[in-house]
Amino acid sequence: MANVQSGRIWLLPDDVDTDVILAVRHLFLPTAEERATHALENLIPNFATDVKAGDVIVAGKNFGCGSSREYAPEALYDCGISCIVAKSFARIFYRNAINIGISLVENADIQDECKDGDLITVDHENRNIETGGRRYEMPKVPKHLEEIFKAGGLVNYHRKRNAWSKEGGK
Amino acid sequence: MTTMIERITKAKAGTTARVQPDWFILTENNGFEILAAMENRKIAFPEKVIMIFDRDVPASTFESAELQKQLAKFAKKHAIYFSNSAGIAYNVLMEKFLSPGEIVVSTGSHCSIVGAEQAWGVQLDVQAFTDSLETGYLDRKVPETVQISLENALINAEIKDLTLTLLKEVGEKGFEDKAVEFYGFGLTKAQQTVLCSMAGQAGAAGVFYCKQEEAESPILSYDLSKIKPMVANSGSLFNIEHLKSVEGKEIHAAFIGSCTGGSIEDLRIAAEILKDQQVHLHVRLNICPQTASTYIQAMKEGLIDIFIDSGAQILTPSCGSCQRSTVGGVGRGEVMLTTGAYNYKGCSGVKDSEVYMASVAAVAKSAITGKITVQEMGVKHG
Amino acid sequence: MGHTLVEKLMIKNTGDDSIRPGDIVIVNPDCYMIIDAYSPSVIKKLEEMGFDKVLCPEKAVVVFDHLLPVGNPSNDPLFISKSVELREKYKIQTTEKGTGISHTLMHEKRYAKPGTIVTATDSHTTTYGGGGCLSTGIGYSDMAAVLGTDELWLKVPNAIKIVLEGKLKPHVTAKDIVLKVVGDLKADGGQYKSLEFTGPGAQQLSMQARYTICNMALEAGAKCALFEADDKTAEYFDMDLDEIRWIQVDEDAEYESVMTYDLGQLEPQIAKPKGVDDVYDISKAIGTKIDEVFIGSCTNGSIEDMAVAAEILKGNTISPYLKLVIIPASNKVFKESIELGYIETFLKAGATVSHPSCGLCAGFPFGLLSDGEVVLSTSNRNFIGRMGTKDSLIYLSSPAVAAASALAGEIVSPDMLELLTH
Repeated sequence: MANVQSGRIWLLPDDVDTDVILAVRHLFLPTAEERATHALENLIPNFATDVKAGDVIVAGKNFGCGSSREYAPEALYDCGISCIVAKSFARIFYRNAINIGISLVENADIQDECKDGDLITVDHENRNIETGGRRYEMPKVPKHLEEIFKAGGLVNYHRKRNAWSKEGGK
Repeated sequence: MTTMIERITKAKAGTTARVQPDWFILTENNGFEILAAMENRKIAFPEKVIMIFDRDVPASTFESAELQKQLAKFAKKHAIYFSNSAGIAYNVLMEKFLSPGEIVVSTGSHCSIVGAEQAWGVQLDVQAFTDSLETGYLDRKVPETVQISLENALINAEIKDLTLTLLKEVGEKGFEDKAVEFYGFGLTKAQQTVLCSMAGQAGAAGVFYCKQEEAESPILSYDLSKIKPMVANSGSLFNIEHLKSVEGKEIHAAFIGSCTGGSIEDLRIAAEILKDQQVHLHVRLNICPQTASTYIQAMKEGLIDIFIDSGAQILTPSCGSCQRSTVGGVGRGEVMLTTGAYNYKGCSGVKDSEVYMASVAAVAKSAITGKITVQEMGVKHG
Repeated sequence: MGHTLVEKLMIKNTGDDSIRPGDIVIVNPDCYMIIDAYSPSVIKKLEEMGFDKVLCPEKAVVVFDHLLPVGNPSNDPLFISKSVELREKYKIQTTEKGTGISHTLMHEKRYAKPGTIVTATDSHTTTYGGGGCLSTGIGYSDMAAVLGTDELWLKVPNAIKIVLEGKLKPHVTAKDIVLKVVGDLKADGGQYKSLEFTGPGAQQLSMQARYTICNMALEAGAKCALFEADDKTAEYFDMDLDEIRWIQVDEDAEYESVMTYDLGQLEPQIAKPKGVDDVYDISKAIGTKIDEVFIGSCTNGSIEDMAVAAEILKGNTISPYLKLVIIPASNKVFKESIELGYIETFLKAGATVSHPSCGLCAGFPFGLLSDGEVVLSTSNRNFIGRMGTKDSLIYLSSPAVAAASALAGEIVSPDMLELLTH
């Protein structure tokens, strides 16, 4: 992902669950592209068609609650969302999103100070977010997730380790 | 001497008779069209109408759910008999309501099945069906009758094999505009039911199984003891060969059920083969008792336990996986072996799939081996 | 100082008794389970990560429970064949092909034993805590890494102690207990935490009841949920109580908070659409018209649940035009239900009975709803569009309430049964 990305805010409420992010009947479509076309459709019918790379979801508490389906954050990622800001994240969604390489930011202030559709810029390198003329610091990546984050997700992390160990590395 | 159809219609062959159907069968079949056609119309004899959901139970698509919602509303409005769980409509009718000599109308193509009770089953298109619902009567040309004699009993094959042998011989239009009377003492009621159900597919205007009589002048005769295992090849009901011709073909899905394979007798055959055996890892076997009563009987006889232990899955009484009604279908590039009544392209799943039709024993045995296998009847397998 | 149950289980697995809430630990799970719905993705991630094989295939279990019987023939068969690939290519020998719901099989077949740590690719993995097992769900990327390394990182959670006292009234059940707890905690009140149940009321609950509670604890955001091990646990797993006696709450353990419930005061509960935590006493929902009732799922598909439903339905028929969908949770429950006459009762009452699987709970093709329709379900979620079109509604309840309401055609309390039956 690019170090600095800009896009619009998609403002979502509390408790956005995984059935709303991607309903069960779409989980078994054969390709990630097809699944992504149904992201959030029961909540925002035009999301999948209007979303652009660099857009950011700003949500309330308990974002991603419900099922363990990794297809949910994957669909958002495939729609171009590489950063989600929420007051809090549900546990399994949090793990899955980190593994995919989505930047997750816990922040409870932004929601009241922005509007749906506002411009937002995320600086992944310097770890801050700007919108409406205000800057918010992104909390540090937890230490145990640093490696995964640096590698750009869990797949890359293990792929590098396995390739390195196959080459007899130390 | 008068034929069955002449007795029932009280008219001579070649004339047009006005009859009052005794039973009108409504399932999800043509449901939306029937509802639209019946808007603002009354039903002449609501006590003669039976609505039973049997195609997709419980509902497996939004479309089914919506259709069932609307049909239930219709049933309530007209105060007609209603069930969403009793089983296959024809079989429930025959279990609970039907008497010999009665006339049954429906938009379904296996309505001829009621001939096993010496009743006349008539398939109508939506307009004719809804007209007769409203008026209470039906005008119909009384067809000429042909007789078929069935001697001895089945030894090395099942009723499905006899049925396919017959259909192969007469062809798709073999019985067109005719009433067919079957004669013979060697078949059980359940077997007669399968025969009457499928015989209608050759264009018959009526099908009857005649009890305790001998055929006076049969056009065809079969020695049941000589019937061999058959298969209807994928894509056409009338592309029929000996089962041996497709022996060894890998299968992915198997279905034992429907009005042509889900009776208690069929389940007994399946259980004898599946007992202490395992369904192949690559095969999905679904078994569907025809009606709730069949299911209860099968439980009492320990058959359902045998199916569960073998790795098969039991569907709730309904048409089951026959004709992609409900769950248990077959996927891209896959092959299904079925006891159901349909095998046209895409009938139980996606278009890019194959559905072969055979006997219960063939389906049960093939589900174990993972490929189409000829099961010798009456021989205890290892 | 004493330890919470979750700490004890992590200490046992890691051998490190200095761990505290907030610490990150690496555990070697004792068992890991993959459901059919994620087999293709798990395999894809294994390949992408460069893992040629599963490190400890004997610890893995694959369950085909979401997609058998096949509902959508265009897509589902691929998931089944990928699940078979996990067995044939990746040598995971323990496979359950259409024999029941994963979370039920995991304790019924003793894959998730007391005192162990288990993970699975499904959120309701918290279920096995009913037997004193630390169990928590993960996604398929995490699972591929677990399969390849036999390691899983976990953050030691804070714990909430939930003390159950007193005795349940007739017709009030474990489902009502957990609905009440989720309603009080709300959907994020247990986020990342271990919910630990103790007290004389907890000890009186059957194993199935404990599993029901731990199953739905997830809906409060819990990382895991745990009951202490006792003689019921030992009997269920055919183990010596001495082996598992240590799975007890320490009196001096530090809990973030303590909730106490007098079970004798509890009424049947209903979760209203569209949030699992929108929970009320049943009196607030009596008379709500329903079109369908679903009895089943890993929450309430046990033999005890089938027994409760059968007792209410026996000799009666359901409300005209209502659909009653019943799905036992496993082949064992199914066969026992046949033997005890429950399936016959269900069929005679007018229900449909489908083969053990997740069924309608997650919106699989077993009784989907159309616009404007309402279902009363014994499962664990009622999010918008989960069991039908987005204009359908889901209420959650216990099997007793569900069965009674199926007779009435509207939500009723089982206490009202005398008025309903003949």
